[in-house]
Amino acid sequence: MAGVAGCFGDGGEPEGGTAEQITIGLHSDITREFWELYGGVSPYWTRVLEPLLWVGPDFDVEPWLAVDWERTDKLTWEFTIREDVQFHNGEELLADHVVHSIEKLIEQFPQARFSWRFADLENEPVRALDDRTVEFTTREEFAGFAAGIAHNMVAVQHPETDGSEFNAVGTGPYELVDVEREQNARVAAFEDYWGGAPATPELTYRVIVDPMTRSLAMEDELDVGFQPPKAQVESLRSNDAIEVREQLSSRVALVNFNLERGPTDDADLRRALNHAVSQETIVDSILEGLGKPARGPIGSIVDYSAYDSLPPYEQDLESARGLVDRSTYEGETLKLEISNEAQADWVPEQSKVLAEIIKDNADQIGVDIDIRVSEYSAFTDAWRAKDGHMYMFLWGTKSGSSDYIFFRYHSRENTHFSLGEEFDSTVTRGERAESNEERFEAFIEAQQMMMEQAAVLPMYEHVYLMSVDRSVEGLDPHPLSEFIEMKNLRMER
Amino acid sequence: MSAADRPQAWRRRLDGTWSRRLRSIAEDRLDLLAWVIIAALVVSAVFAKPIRLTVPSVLQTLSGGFLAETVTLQPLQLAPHDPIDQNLADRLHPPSREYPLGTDQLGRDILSRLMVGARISLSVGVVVVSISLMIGTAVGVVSGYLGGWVDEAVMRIVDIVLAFPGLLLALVVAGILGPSLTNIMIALAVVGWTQYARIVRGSVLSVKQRDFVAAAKLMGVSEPRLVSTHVIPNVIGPVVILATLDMAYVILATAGLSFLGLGAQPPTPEWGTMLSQGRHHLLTAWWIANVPGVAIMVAVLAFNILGDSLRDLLDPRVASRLEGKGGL
Amino acid sequence: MYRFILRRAVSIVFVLFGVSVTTFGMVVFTPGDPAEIVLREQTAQNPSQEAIREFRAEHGLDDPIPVQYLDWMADVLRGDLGQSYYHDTPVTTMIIRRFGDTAELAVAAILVALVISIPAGVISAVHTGELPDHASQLGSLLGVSMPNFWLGYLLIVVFSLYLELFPVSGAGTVRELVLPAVTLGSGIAAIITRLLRSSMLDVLEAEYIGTARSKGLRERIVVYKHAFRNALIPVVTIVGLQFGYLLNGAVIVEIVFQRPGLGTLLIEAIFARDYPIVQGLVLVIAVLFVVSNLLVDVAYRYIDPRIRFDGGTR
Repeated sequence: MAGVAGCFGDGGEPEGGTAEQITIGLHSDITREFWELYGGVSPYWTRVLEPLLWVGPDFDVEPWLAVDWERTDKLTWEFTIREDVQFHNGEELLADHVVHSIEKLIEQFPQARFSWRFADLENEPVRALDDRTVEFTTREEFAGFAAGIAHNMVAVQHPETDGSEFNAVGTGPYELVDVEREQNARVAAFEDYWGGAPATPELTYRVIVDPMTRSLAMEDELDVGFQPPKAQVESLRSNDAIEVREQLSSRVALVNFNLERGPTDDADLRRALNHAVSQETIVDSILEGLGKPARGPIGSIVDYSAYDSLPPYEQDLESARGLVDRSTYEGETLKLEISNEAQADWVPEQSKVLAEIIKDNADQIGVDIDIRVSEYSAFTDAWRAKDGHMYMFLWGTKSGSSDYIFFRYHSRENTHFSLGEEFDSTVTRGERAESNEERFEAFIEAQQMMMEQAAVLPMYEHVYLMSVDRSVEGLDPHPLSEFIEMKNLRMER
Repeated sequence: MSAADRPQAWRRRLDGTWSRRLRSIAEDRLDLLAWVIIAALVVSAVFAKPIRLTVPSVLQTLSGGFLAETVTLQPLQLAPHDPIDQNLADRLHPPSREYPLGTDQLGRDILSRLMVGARISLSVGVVVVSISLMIGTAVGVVSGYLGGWVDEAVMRIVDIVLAFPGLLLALVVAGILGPSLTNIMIALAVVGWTQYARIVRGSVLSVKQRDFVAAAKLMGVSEPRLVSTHVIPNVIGPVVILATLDMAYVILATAGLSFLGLGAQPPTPEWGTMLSQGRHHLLTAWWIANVPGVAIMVAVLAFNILGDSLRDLLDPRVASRLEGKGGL
Repeated sequence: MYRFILRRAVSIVFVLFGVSVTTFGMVVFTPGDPAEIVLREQTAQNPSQEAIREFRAEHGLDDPIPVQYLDWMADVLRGDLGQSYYHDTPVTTMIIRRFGDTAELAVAAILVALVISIPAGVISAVHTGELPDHASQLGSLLGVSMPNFWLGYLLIVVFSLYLELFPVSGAGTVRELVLPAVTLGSGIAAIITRLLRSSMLDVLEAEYIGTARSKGLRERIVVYKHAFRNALIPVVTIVGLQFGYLLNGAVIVEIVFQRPGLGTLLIEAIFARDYPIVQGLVLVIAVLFVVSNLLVDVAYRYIDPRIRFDGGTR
């Protein structure tokens, strides 16, 4: 392992002690053009830029670049910025930097409107009250605002940041050294980091999107590898130098139905398809047992998951056929849209195989399905344009909140499917709730409504895996892989 | 430079060596191997599973209910299992008596999929090659015969099509039409007809220039007849060789485009798709990806060997124009 | 010679015009309204009819198609290949960024092909009908018949995993270039080997009597050398003409080995239905292909002035 690492570093290091450099293999292309907004590399995993708030290992929202926050009115929130935080260029972090970063985000990332509910730019979504205080304005009452912006993409960056030349100036424990597009990004320890200098001088993030190639590289080219394909775990585990770690995440692989187009606008057909599929079989076979059969749209480790109160749709072909007969389905071909795995974040692994299973199960109850594969952006475009009948996603969160799935069935956006006024008001009640209990109660109710209407076909709760060299230390587990800290990462040589 | 500029040359050679070569083809073990492979492919393509035709409802009504909804053209099933039947309990099963080539990640029998896959590959090959051949021949004859601005225009269109690297053009056409086998066939035919057009046109031109043709024309022999009596015998050799090499190319290209996800969609047992899906199991279940890999190679190899040995009957200068195209 | 170049140039201009019309038409006639797609991407909302109308007017999408073509051509001639539906980066920039990687792979593949094929072709011609000849002929048949996407994985398993000689994937260093170059080069090697063998045999056949008369080994070597030198001319041509093959193959090899490049970009753009990128790439590739074929023609004529040209693309 060290020998391979040496071909990236300077090679001539003494034996023993800790490694000068650690190589981390990622499943997602952190150098894609999409990330120019953040200086050219994704703020996930790289730890160059940091968000205002952090998510702890038990899903609590923790102070990070902001030390304190408070809701000051129905729509406004006040955040106090941490003192003595330095950017990589030596400048001190001020409220104006936060304003700049958020404005840039809203301008360049249109989904910000519903992901975090920032007000539109013309309504002053963010302003500096003084050097240390920032005020945010949301577009509607939204109790989950703080938990929502505990998200790597709500990152603070210095205005010098320039994505077209891979220049990212942030406050994180690592500084961006250089990037080779679609290949790797190298970061070096930032000695003046506000949380203390990191343990390892240099990290190399290698981008290996293809799951097979990535797992081959894990055998001896990577010190830490994200998301080995589940089919390869057995073979990786036979390698004594590697440990494969498992962690149940908050994400759920599911199929969303198009509620506004026939025949999937018929709840009976959707229920029938739910009864046609066996979650247990999927987990036991395709996932090699590394997953948890899902019952609803929100993973069981989330505070307000309805997992315990949801009756599972057991596989029952008899009643499924009965439901099909009762429904308006008349032999149409349903289009199941899936994305190929080039953009793995929102796409379940082995989507094609999962789609084939669903097709096969649907065949058995007399429902015809056509699988359509496209790249992620075309796939989401089809979903927003409401083209197609079914869409396979790996739903979940990358923030302290997990409520995206609700937005997608709330009628306030015309790209989303409407589940009816009652659902809308339940979700809104949760979003405006003063207390957590109230919020959780409303959200659990919303999940029950979704499942009663069979708006989705949940498949499994995602377990994410990491292959880790046994000499690696300081890599703490976290239900959101995007919040794994790299600061304490070190490796014996 | 074009193949048909010197048709007499290869015909002379063909005539002189035909009987001798015929004997030597049988003796040539490589050729024999190629024939055996192709025969095996054809058998499994035809008999892997029954071939049923759906009769259009119009015909059913017309026949007064005499014709059933489906007509079985071929009732036999050589494949031991259904190629798309999933059996998750038996997934990733190594080769065994029950599953001679193992099962894939969904527990489907790979041998059965392979056999049905032969039907897909061969029919795509035959369809694409015949369409290319028909379009190319028609265009070539018309262009060569009419000459003048028609010829000029047609040849410029050929130039434009050839200005794109063939497979990339097919890839883009298939991508725009949307991933499916039909669209792959369209895309490959769009690119494939040009070579035939060139050869046929060249041959027509050279026939036209000959004295006896002019004389025949003066005597009132019709042009279609001239074409059928003089042009077709001249081009049939190069065209058959080209078609054989093209079969190899189309099989390889179809597998490649399907590997990229632009061809057959799951669960169709197309070889390239099977290989693509099996690569996730390269280390744990080698047979899923490698069996279709071998199948593609063997099929392509057989057509290449055949094309080569046919080409050896020809003038080598003509032969060098008919180089296999090399695929993905 | 100059008249030939002039004639070729005129025909090239015509071909390039045809190429540009084809690539332009490709996007105009694809399903889906670009205005709707772009607006949906920019606002994360389904755009209103009014917004679509505004966008179409602003971007000249309602102009007659010939006018749109001329506008587009004017941009292309200035080096502006347009804007992707989903990214802010101009298409030209995206192509330039990845061009070097594909060029590197192509050059390396040609080198690999020459290193394999020159000895193989020569040995095969010198020992016609003997074991080395059969071996090399069978090898080249396998070379053209083997699917690159399978060969690539086999090479990874053998050389990266079992022998641990080369890394599994990546780009940048020579070690990372070896396996992709071998995968891509093998097919070309097969073609060159066969061509070299047959052209050497042609020359040797002509020199046959002389060879037969010269009993000495040294003289035979002289003859072989002569034959080899002559046989190189078609080899040069075929190497030049393999440009298209390289681009075809690069798509697969880049996908298998996770290399950035034009091939990966093209496939992603096709699956994203991001037609401006597809259009730009196709145009660039076709122009490169046409120009490289022209250069080969000119070079060939220069090397061997006896060759008559009948005005075809090759």
